[in-house]
Amino acid sequence: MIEVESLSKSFGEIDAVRELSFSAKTGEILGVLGPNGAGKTTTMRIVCAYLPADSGTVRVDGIDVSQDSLEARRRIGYLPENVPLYPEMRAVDYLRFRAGIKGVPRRDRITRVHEAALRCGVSEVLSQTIRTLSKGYRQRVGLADAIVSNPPVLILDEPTTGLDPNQIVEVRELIKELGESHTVLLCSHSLGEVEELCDRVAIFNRGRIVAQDSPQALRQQLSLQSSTVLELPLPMEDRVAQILEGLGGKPSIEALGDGWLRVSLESGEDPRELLFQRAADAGIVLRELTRRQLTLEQIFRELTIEERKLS
Amino acid sequence: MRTLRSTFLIAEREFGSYFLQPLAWVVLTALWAFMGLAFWLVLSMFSVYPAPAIELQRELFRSMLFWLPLLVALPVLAMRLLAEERQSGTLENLLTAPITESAVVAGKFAAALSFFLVIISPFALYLGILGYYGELDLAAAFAGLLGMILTGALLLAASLAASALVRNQIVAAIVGFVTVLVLYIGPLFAGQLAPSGPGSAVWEYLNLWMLLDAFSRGIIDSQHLVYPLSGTVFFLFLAARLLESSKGK
Repeated sequence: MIEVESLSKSFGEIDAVRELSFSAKTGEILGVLGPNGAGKTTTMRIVCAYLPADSGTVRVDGIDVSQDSLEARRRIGYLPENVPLYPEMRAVDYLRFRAGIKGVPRRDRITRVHEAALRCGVSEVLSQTIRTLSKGYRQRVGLADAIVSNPPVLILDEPTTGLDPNQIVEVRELIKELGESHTVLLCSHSLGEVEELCDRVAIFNRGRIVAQDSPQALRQQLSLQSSTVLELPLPMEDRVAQILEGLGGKPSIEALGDGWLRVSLESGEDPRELLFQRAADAGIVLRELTRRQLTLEQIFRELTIEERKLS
Repeated sequence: MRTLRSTFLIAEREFGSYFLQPLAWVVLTALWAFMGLAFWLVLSMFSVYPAPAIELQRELFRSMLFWLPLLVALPVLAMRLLAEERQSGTLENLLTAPITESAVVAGKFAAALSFFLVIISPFALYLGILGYYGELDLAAAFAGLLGMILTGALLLAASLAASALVRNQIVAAIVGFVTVLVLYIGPLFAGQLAPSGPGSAVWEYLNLWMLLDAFSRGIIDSQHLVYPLSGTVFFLFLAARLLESSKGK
């Protein structure tokens, strides 16, 4: 469980994080999205007690990070961005060392290392020197390090960058599985990833959370901007107004050049059934009738660019 | 208990890492060559101007011939300890584990000091040779070794603090070298410049050459223990504070 309350942190003149609040329960994956420089990594570092906050509180499993940072850190598995590892060590030695300083008893260390390696798919490279590993393997050695002491809270800063598509699928499966029994804070650039994995999403921009909800709810909130597209034959141009009557909004009409016409209309409610009915009554053949929902990507752009315009 | 275990793990990893990197091997080889040469020079000096065997043995422990290469080598061995962790970002990984800055510094220091023991291990051979061909004052030899270890510890701790201060390893080595040089040569020069001034007692107290000289005679005086030990603790404390303040930067 992670509870963050009105967290602020500035570096000199720059406010990296301003009055930030969020929480994540056990068994929940909270996605953290935002453009570069939005304060995501700073927030992660404060939660992991690597940076002190200027004000506000962070509790991990009920433990105040600033009061008892060691005890809090004992409950966190952290995968930093860029996954810094010791290149001269063998992967197995590195993971044993990490298990040791995270307090895994000596007799359990090698079993835990092998378990974590198996889950992260790095068993076959354990005896290799980290320097010789590919980016994808290093990334997963870092992930194995994060889970090696089986902490209740996982903080993963872009865990799938540098992986090939197959590895991405595997690691996402793993995160999903871990999310059932852990609290996971997942920082990502990949909106698809967040949409797929997270129960809730917090969108960061300029050190603040501009939206926080489930991916579905976020989409619903912004469904007013959903649009409906229909295509009908060009000679029916004068009938468009009749079909769209009473639906509000200003349709945009575009001739496609192949004798068809594309009409898009922004509307909150789904008008597809009505449109079909009217077209059928008027004897108009439609070759397309679709409703475009905003993807998280568009919501994200909408929210973060809007902010930029305002300020 | 946990801190002790973490310290041990850090030390174990760091000591092992020395042998996985070419730099340490280069330094070790060069130092052993220099030290062998210094031993030969000391021996040939004494064959020209014969003196009692105990004098020869004392010269081993206090001669600058042994220390000058060490003044260069110790900052080089300590430079990467913290600076590299900061530069490569592994410090973030290390300090988000449940481990204190003090344990990190203590572990790194223990590893460096252990490597220093490896460096001076040929002294066992030199003493063996002296004992084979002449007479050995064993008590004085132990005191002499203790003096070397204490001095080495002080200089390593100072170099470690330099490594905590800056991000760049080369800069860390240079800062460390200057600090070590001031610690070793500074009081010597100051003592020469002002042999009887008001500060002379201080310079004498801080004079590492005189400290090594005293140990080489088999004299273990509390003043000669207090200075290197408290100096070492001071620099380690400094390194831990510097490390703490550099987090996240």
